Amino acid sequence: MSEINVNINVHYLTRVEGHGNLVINVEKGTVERCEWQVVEAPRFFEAMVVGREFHELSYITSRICGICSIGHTLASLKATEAALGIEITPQTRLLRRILVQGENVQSHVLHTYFLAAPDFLGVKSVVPLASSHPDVVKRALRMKKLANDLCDIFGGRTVHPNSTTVGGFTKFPTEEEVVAIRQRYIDARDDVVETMKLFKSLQIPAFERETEFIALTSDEEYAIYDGDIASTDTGRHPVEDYLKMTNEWVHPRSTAKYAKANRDSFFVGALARFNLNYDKLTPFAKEVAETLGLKPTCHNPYMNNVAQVIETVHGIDEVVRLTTELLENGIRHEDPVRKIQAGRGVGAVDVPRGILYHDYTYNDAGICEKANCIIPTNQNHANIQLDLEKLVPEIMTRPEKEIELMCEMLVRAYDPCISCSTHLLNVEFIRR
Amino acid sequence: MSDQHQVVVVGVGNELLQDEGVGLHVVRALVRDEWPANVRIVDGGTGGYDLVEHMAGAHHLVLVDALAGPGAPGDVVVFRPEDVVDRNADMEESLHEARPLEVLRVAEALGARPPHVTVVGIVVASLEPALTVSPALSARWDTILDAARAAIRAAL
Repeated sequence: MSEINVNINVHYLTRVEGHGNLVINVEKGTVERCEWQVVEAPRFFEAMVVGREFHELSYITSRICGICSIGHTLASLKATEAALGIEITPQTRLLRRILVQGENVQSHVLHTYFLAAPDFLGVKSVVPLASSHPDVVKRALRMKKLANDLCDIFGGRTVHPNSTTVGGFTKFPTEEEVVAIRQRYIDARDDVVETMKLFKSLQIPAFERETEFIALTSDEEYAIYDGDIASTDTGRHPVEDYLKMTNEWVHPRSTAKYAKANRDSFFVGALARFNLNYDKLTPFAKEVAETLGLKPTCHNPYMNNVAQVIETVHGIDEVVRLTTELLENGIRHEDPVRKIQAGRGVGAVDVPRGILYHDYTYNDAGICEKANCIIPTNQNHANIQLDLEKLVPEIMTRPEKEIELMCEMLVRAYDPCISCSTHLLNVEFIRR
Repeated sequence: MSDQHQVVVVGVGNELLQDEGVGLHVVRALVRDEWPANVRIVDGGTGGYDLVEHMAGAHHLVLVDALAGPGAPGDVVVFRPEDVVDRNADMEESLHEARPLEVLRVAEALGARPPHVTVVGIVVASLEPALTVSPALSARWDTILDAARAAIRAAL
């Protein structure tokens, strides 16, 4: 142990969104340095929306991300509607809940199959995976297309939805479109089962560090679109108290901020939602969770990948349930609800990577005067850092390549969207 | 070529970075032309692996994209992927770097690559943040569009 020296300096980690570095330095068995450095440039969206009219913000903020653009759109709309005192109709709420499930499935399929799975299958990327495991890649593309098409039908476009607007929608799906996409989701059960089998065959690293989990929670359903903030440590809080549940601060090693709540860090994302809202999963999703060996409260960050698989299962079931409800109600062409007043509002949505907050202040002309966006990946950076600080001493006797892979996989398990938060881990080992 | 053979024209690029988005500007102009029923024109954006779904089932894919060179800004270079060497072939990618040539390799492994692929590459002048092409390309716009049209007609 005393002769162990490790020096890892990964410049730009691959298979995450955005840019981040990993620096690990162990000298004679003592960890001298262990840092997750986020080096992505700031995006300035909160400054961009100041001076803009209320109906413009969601179209601007959806551009924060190309994967979770729907989540940003909906959090933005909710913040604007809360500020302007707008009550949306039950149909609008139903359509948005369908849309957000589409994004969750699309994002999780993308991450689990294209970003995380290559590590477990011994390849560097999806490109060789297409040759070594073509059925796996075809299934991933098929499931992603299914989710993309749902987002297209309900959001007007696969990325950066344009049929959503403050107070409602500008375009509605036809009954034929809803019937067709609902059937495709019912038929996706085979792909879901194969996904479960694939992930059952993978060896998930055993690692634990107890942490606080934070996610939306609701009495109505597995919360993604609506709910209160819930913490495994401190219980339930209104969304308006989000600043007390995030406490962003600047760390010199990172261009993205860190966050803390009851402890020095907390975890947001699929595993947090699973731990806090397990009882609201569909029966089949719970069966899959049991098959994959995930039960609450799990403190292994690598299992976030598995939680994403379970949410994919749940999301597919939910789309069937919610589209059934929509068809039974009938699709009505409703004008968006509009009202303008001065005010401040917070919108929270639990997007694929965790709980997202948009906070807007408008004047009485409906012009934005101030905005604050707290991104889920920002909230996870401190937890990633502390996980690495615990993990490295536990694995430092292993071969360097294995340490590198374990650390990269840990960061990837969080599915960080650094371009939202500000992407790439680059690990360099230096042995002395 | 039979009317049943689908020709899919996909423009790709990032329209926030001036000439990087030239492929998108080209297809948005071409879609206003009259084309036979077997021609489908697609705005592929920065679709990455989603582009595989656009090309599946096509007999001929025409990809329109920005090119670093060779040539002067606004030159149009028409080539086949097999005629070039991909210097970045071994680069580990992020989703932001799912480049068209890489996507074609994945499509080929999955049996989704069309039998024929033509790339219409337009040499760029500027990659600065802007929503329109640079003056250098704008000045040659009719020539660029005519070259793209000729490539599509050759694929029919």
